[in-house]
Amino acid sequence: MSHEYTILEKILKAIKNVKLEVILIGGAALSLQGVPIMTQDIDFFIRDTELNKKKIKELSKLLNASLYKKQHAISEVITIESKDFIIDFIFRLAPEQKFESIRSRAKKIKFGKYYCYVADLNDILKAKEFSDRPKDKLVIPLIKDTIDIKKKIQKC
Amino acid sequence: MEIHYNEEYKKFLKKCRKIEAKVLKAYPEKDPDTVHLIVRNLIMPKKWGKRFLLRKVKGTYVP
Repeated sequence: MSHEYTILEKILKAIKNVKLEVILIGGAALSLQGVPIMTQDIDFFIRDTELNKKKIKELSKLLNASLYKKQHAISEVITIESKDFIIDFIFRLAPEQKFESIRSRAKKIKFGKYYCYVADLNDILKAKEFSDRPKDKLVIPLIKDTIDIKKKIQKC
Repeated sequence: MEIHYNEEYKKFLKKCRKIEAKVLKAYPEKDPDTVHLIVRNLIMPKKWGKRFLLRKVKGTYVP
């Protein structure tokens, strides 16, 4: 198993223990679906509730990681970070992108013993277009190319 | 010119090239190197494992 799968399995095990519902978005989700990029952090989309914020605190203790808040282009973000990983929890994407609708289109991918919802490329594209940050703009053409090529391969 | 040192990868690369040709026929405006990276990522056997996390080792970011 690759380093990435080992790290994700460890994180997903802890997420399951605190009963947090997450959807993988961002660079990791893009890369897992063929977009040729690499990333430094793992981004999860979660519902914006006080209970979820408590669960993130619990998770950070379980993973022996540091926790801090920051303001992202689209929403407030809670980050938990250790020497092995950086995880961002994002509460909002584009205005019309609700947690349930993103999850209904997401793929379930297995990492070791644990499953994780991975957001659809079109949903991540929408969020990147909405955030309008220079680093997101750079990846947009690659997401569009991957969507086109995926469609073409499915037809072949 | 392609030089192959690994038979399994040679077969994989042949499959990539075949798909890339079809993709580039449909989308001639796309960059062939980018198309290769995407096709490679999409058809790569799961057992090879996907690499996407960069780690900082001695001041340098590595996969």
